[in-house]
Formats: sequence, structure tokens, C-alpha cells
Amino acid sequence: MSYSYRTNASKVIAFRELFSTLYGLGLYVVLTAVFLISSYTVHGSVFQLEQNGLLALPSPLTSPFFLTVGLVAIYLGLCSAISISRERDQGTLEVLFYGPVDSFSYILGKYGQQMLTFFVVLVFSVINFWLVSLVTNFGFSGNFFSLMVLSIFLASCMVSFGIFLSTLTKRTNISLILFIALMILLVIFPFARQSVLSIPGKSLTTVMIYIRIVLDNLNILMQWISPVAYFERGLVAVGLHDTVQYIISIAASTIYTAVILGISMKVFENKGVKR
Amino acid sequence: MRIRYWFTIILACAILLMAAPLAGQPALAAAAEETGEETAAETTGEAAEEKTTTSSTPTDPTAALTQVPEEIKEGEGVPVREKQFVYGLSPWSGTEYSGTFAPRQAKTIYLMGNVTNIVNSLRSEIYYWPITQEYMADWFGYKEDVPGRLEVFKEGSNEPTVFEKTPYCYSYPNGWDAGVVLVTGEAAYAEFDKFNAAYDAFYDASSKYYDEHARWQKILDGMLQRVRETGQYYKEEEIPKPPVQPTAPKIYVTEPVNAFLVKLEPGNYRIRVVGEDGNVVPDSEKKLVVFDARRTGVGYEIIPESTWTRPFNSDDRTQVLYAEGRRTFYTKPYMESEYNLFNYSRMISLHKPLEGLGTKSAWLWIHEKEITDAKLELLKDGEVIEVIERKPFYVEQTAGYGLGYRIVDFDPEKPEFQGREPSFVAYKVVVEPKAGEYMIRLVDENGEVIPGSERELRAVGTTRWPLYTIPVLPLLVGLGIFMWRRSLAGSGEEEA
Repeated sequence: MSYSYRTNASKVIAFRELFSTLYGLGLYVVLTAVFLISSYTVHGSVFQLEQNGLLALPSPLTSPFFLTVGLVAIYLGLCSAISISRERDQGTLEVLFYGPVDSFSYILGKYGQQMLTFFVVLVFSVINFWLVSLVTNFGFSGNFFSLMVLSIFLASCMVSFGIFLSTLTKRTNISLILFIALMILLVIFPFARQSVLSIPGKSLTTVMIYIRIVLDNLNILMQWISPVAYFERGLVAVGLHDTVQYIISIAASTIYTAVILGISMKVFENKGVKR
Repeated sequence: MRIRYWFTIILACAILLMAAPLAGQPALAAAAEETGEETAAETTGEAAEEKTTTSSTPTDPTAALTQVPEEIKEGEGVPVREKQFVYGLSPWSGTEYSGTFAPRQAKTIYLMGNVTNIVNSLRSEIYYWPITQEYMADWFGYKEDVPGRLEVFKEGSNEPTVFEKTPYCYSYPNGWDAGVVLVTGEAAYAEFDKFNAAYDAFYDASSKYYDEHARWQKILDGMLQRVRETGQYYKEEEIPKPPVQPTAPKIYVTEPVNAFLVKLEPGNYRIRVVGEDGNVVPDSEKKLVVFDARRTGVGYEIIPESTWTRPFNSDDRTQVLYAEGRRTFYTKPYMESEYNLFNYSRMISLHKPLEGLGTKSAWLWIHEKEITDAKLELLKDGEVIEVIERKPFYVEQTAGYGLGYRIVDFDPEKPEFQGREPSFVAYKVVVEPKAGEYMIRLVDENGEVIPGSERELRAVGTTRWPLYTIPVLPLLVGLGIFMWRRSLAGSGEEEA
């Protein structure tokens, strides 16, 4: 199939599913829920400030923003994880592939749809945080734009990771459980590591020292596997005002996406479209 | 089937990963793996039974930090001792000379780059004390200087940089807690002589003072006797003034000792000590990691007036100072550097094999030198609205049984502050950020802004209800679209 046919097929799939998402209520309900959660964390900062009167905060809106895009990226990853396996499970995938659609255009279409959805989410997020900033006077840090750009690549990694999982399994339930389990591991891991790190040396028991060492070594592995780790690398670069590292982080996320999507296409081809 | 297969492999790996450390030698085995060190068990197994020789008391104050306490040396918990070659280390920590040592079990030494660190070749009796999980040295019981030269090889090079032992001392010109100066070479002896001369002069002056005071007391007793006998009082100018008691010099200088004064560029090295006989001293070969700061800047210690005993730091210029209403705070600026937590912890606590483990990817800001010769500017919308000088302050407890205090300007000339020291010296900022952009920054003597010293100040709105109404916006948009689609579908059906 020629390249132009493939891209056209991808476009059709992406936009058809995008509009389907936008015309439904699901995305808006999720966005409202996520914004409420992030507002709760902003509320926490306001409360803390009320108690202390004066505080030095790096950027009180960055963490809620990170939380918002992180949760939405996970949601989109989850949608990706179940989308292919669901269509295969229901038998609609086989029907689709009788038309001018191949694994490349299908996977790319799925990826494109989720990324376009993320752009819509980003617009809502910026409006939401701008209004929150007006109400609280919490400032957007100078690097907010850089973080926003970075979040696109976080979503890209997350969506491709979800698609990859979706191509691995034939059952929707298994995709769902696998994705949730891995996300819990990947998201909780940095927090668990940080909590263990924050224990002062004198209070460490032998078991805690081993946990620290195991987590430190696992962290090296996580740096390559976890989509969140790519985002964290970018966050550090933004914090250090290190443009080179920032670009490297974006490039790494792009390569991660390309590699994962490439593997997904290969796995998808091998598994076939039948139930 | 395949999923079950992969799940089994992952589960087996996870069990192995968690179980492996717990199966073998406890903490130290893993610590040894991490830091490249031997375990304490090896130390105890090879403990020498040599007779202890007592040496002179060490003059290096940092040795006290690693000295084994007397109570540990007695009773049932007596640890097994081993005489061994050690590197005595006084690394510069950014604020002071810290004290640690590298026992035989420590394979890598950590030092800061581009600063002078003190490394000494010694022999002492080493203990591993499991309760605090650290090696200790009985410096006061046995300490022998190992003569020779220190050879340092940069990674990949066979050409050593050689360090000879040089005399050095620590000088504290303004007292123990007011900063240390390293004095090296012949100047160390001159500094020590200066310190001794200052104290000799003080003792002479004190002796003279006590003599004069005794004479003055005698005269005063005679005058009192005369008043009692005659009933006639003296005029004020007739009463002799008491002699003035001399004040002790603030300076303190340690006795000069010889050590290697090591100043190296950041990088990886190998080190060894070559004795006077030209042979490498056994156990002296080690790796040396010389590290540098990841970044530098200006950090602020911020003392809110409302909670002066609970100051907090602002280490990064991206941190914004948020205030609720009118606020008064005092701030102490510092030049600061950010170091890798693992390297820094190993550097200052090498005798604690577990210190810093699992922190290779963590970072730590160190406030290094207080900035005292700058002025603090308060800006609004880019315009300087106040220039603030550094001043001393005194915390006064309020009278009565209730808790409370006032922070007042410290004026040594005022009678109520006679014989007292200020509680702290800082810049006082009183601000009520409203509309507009507020900022603090430091300017040096030339009026130049000190890079990294800028901090934004903002007032925070504390109304909460909008925080929980703004998120409903997407739902309203979604409902709007949903209703619109339904109306379109409805009209389509009607047309049909």
C-alpha cells in the first residue's frame, strides 16, 4: 500500500475517533474529575500558606499541572490499551482490515487520535490553570511553557505504551488489568523511592537499607522503561535551565514513542486481526 | 499461555531480587557491594593482638568526631580492635573542615574539587561499632604518623601528582563558631605563635588586672573604713575608678601538624602512599573521586517574624515567596552549591559504611558562605522601592507567664543590651504585596545585582470556592455539545 493511502487511512481513523470522543461525555467527566483533584492540591498549598503566613514555593501550579497531564495521559494510555484489544475482541477489527487499512495506518491512526485528544485536553488545562492562577495569584513559573511542551511528549510515550500493551493481548480485560498494574508500579515507584530516600541515615534499619539499594538499582532500569521517567528527565532539565538536556529528553521521548509504535506494529502484524 | 509464562518469569525475578540481599550477610555485605568496601566481619577476623602504644593526644579537632568513646572500650560490648593503616581525612565540606577517616575497608575516598582537603597517612586501632554502624578509631590510645609521600594518579595516567607532608593549622580568628581559616606552611607556626602570644598577653594583662583590682579594693576598703569612722562621705571624683578587666582573645589556633594538602580538579583518581624506603605502604592504594558542584547560586534562610525559631530556606531562584497579607521576615543570604548527595555523604562520613547508600541520584544544596557585604533591594514592578541594610536583631521575651516575644533592633550602645550578643544578623523585610510584581535581590558594593539572588514575592488569594467551581467548566462544555448533538439528531428524525 502506498504511503499516501496509508497516511490518509490514518487521518480518517484518527479524526473519526477524535470526533467520537469529543461528542461523548466521557472525556469531559474525566477532565472535571481530574481538575477537581488538582484543585484539591492547590487548596492544600493555600491552606499551608494560611497556616504559615509566608512560604517559599518553587511553583505551586506546576505539581497540580503535572498531576493533571499525568492523569489524563494515563487515561489516554488506558483508552489506547483497551481500544485495539476491544476491537479485536468484538470482531470489528477483522471487518476494518478488509478495507484499505494495514497495521501501520491503523496503529498510527490510533496514536494520532489519542494525541489530538490530548491537545484538546491541553487547551482545557491551560484555561483551567489560568483561571486558578487568577483566583489564587499563584504564578506560572517561567518554565511553564517548557513543561507544557514536555507534557505532549509524556502523553506520546504513555499512549504508545498503551497501544503496545493493547497489541500484546487479545482480551480487553487483560489489557486493562496489565495497563493499570504497570501504571501503578511506574507511578508509585518514584514516590516510594523518594519516601525511602527521605528517611535520615541514622533511622535506617537494615531492611530499609536493602530496600533503598534495590530501589536505587531498579530506578536505573525504570529510567529506560517508564514513560514517566522520560518526563522526569525533562523536568530536571527545565529546573536546571539546561536546554541541551531538555532537547535530549524530548528526542529520547520521540525515539521511545517511535520504537514502541514500531514494535507494536510488528506485534500487531504477527498476532493478526482475528479474534 | 504466553502471559502466564511471562508472569511467572517476572514473579521469579522479583522474588530473587528481594530475597537475595536478605539471604546473605546483613547490611554490610550490600554496603560493601555499593561502596566497594570489605565487611566488618573481615576486620574482626583479622584483628591484631599487638600491644597498644600510646601516642601524644591529637591536636586535630576533627579527630574527636571519630574517636571511640571510653564506655565502648570497656564491658561486654568490647569490639575487636585492629591496628591498620588509615587515611585521616579532613575534607572541606563547603562550610568547615569535617572529620572522618578511610579504614582499610573503604576502597574509595571522596573529596571536593578545587579546594584544599587534608589527607593524612596514619596508623591507629580501628573498631567497628555495630550499634551505630560505623568504624571508630582510638586516636587518643594509639596514633602513629606514617611518613612518606602521597602519589595521585589521574584515571588513565601513570604520571603521578606528588604531595609531600606540609604543616597546617586551623585558625578561628573570631572564635570557634565564626568560621575557620586553614593556614599552611611556615605561616601555620607563625599563626600558632601569634595565638600563643595573644593568650600570653591576655594572661599577663589578667594577672596585672587582678593585682590592680586588689590594690583598688584595698584603697576602697580604706576609704570605707574612714567613712565609718568620720561619717564624712567622699566626692564621686575622689573615688578611684576600678581597673578594666581584659577580654580574652577570640582567636583560637590548633597546634600545627603535618599532612598532605590535596587540591585537585574534579575527576577519578588512584592514590597511594610511598614510604621513605621507596615502597608502597600496604593498604594505602585506594580510589579517589573528586567531585564538583552541579550548580551554584544564592540561597536565603528566611526567618518569619511570626515563627522565628522555624526558619526555612529558599535555595532556588524559581522559588517564589508567597505571603498572606502584610508580613515581616528576616533573611540571611548565602552563596550556595548543589552537590550529589551520595558523594557528599561519603565524603563527610566515610567511616560510616552505610551512609549515603541509595542516594546516587539525589542532590543537596549546601549554604557555604554568608553574604554580609551586600544590600538587599525590594522592587515593585521593576523599580527599587527600598534598600535594606544588614543589621543585628535581638529576640526579647515578653514579660509575664504567657509565651511571646518581640524582635527588636540590637543597639550595643543602649544599656539594656550591655553584655549581650544579638540573636541574629539579617536583612529585615516588611512587605504587603498587593497589585504589581514584587521582588527582592542582592546588590554588591559596586551596585551590581548578585546573579541568582532574585526572588519574586506574591500575595495569595485565599478564597476557596472558585477552586472547586472552575473544574466544572469542561463538564458544562461537554453537556453543551451533548445537547447540541441530541438536538441535531432530533431535527434529523423530524425531517425524515
